[in-house]
Amino acid sequence: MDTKIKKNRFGSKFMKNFSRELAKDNLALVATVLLVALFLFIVIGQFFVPKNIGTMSDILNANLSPLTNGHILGTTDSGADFLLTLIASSRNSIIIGVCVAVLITVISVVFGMIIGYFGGWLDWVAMRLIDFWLVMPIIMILAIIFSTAKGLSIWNLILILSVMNWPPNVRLIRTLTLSEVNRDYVEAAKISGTPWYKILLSGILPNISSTVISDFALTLAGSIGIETGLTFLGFGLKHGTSSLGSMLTVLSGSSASSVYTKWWLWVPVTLVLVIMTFGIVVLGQVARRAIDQRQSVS
Amino acid sequence: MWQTVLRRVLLMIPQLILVSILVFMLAQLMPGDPFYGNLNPNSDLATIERMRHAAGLDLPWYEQYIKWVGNVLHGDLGTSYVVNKGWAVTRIIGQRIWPTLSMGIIAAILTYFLAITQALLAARNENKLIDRALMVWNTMTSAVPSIVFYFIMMVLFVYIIPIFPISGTGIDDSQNFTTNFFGNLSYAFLPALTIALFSTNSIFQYLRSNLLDQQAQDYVRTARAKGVQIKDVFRKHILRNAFLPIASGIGYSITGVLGGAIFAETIFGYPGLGALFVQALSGRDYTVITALMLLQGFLALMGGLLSDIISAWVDPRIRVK
Repeated sequence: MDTKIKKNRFGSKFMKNFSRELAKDNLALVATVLLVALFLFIVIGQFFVPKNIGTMSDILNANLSPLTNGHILGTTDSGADFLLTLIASSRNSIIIGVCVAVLITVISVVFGMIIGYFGGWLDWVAMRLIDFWLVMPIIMILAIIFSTAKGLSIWNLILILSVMNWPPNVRLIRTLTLSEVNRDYVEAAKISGTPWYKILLSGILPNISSTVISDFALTLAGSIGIETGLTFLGFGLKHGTSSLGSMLTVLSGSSASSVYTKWWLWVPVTLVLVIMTFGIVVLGQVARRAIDQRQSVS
Repeated sequence: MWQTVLRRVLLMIPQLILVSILVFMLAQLMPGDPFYGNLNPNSDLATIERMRHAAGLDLPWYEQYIKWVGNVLHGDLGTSYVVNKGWAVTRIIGQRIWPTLSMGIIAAILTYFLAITQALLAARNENKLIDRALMVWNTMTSAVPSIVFYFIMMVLFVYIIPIFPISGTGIDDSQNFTTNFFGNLSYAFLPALTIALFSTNSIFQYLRSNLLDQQAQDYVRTARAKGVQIKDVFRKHILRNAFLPIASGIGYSITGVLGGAIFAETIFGYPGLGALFVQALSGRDYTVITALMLLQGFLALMGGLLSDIISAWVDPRIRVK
């Protein structure tokens, strides 16, 4: 009971700081409003998206320009409504970004804190592994893995992206943990007999949480970027799954010279990408400031 | 210092072996092969099997690996099956590496130039409008997927304001390097500028916070108290100290030359190694893919080595250790 009350205060204080930080920063406010508007648009809009939007082929209605036959942004080259395809793609991007970021953050917090806290041979082995991993051409390896399956379902893509991209995050959390481990409060907790998992969870984690949150936002935006890029190259989500990357292929190669004047084929897609990724990263920074402030004030 | 370098070089050998095994196994994991990929109604399965056997593709992977490593050590990376059928991979890479290299060099120089200028501007005007604007700009370029910027730059400067050629290179095999470099400049400049414009974030953030840290140091106050002008303190003391960590990053920028070029080269239609990788991957051209991955792994290791050497060279404190 007691802890519950404490927790509520904790959360409401964070929200207060958060909104104060937002109010101070006009740009962050605009980015957040745009992001929330986009998010609502996607959530509401996806109820109108037909299930077969990625696989339908309606040649008679293909490549319509905006505002014809009731299609606000025209149709794609397979005859699906462009706006609905955009909504389905954005939804997939958000699912991928959030899931990958959650998985990577959990992995990196758990492993990073453990290897940073215990050190020794475990740390040595993990760091050699991570150093080696950072040398590898990750984008190329991802492209090869994705091309082997001739396109993946969203969930497989999430798993592979998380498995391939954790090392930099683990290294970051380890470094942060190392800087906390020798502080007096950890020493005091150790001497008084606190078990290690309690020190990690209620001692070190709150102190590094500000960076964890901004790192989460960066990973989220980065995963959306990787998925979009690889699907654009043709080594990503399987055919039939809408993706912002495959919507951008109209602008690649020789077709670009004839297509660039049709702004509706690429401007909305790039706008969605910009609002989504920029908004997420800015939001992460605001959240970091809100948490940092809490640490300094009380 | 040379002992450190030697130790690093020796450490690179097992890493390189590991990279090569991993690279080779990844290529083996790909389903299909260059011969079955070209299957058509007139293909004879027995002929395909014979071609597979001749290429050694029916052996178990470790035998193929040993054979491959032996050939690599002799400078033979195999023959391309699909991209330039029948060409030696070394010849294809030799032809494609110059566009990528010239673009990468221009991009690296521009990145450092832009990032350093921005960081100086921001640090000199801390918390003023220009500082905040530069911070927002760099946050944005690091957050938004780079292909978005590549598209915008391409549409802007190739189609709407056509001042750059659409695609291709100005490289001619019969010419020497300098002629090629300048002939290629108009083709390489736009992708290089685009990469540079949108990848300043890490150097910018690092240098800016370094400059701000150094500005608060005691030696700056001493110099100011002696009556040294702020711009002289900046040039002679703050800059030199703040640049130390940045200098070591130059080595790592080599690493990014190939990996970062995949998207830029594909979008700008620039026929370098990145575009070659995409082509080879679509055609399941094992030999080209493994060679490119090996090259990238090698470049990454060399970049790390170079970074260590540079940081030991510019900062005597590291040498003593």
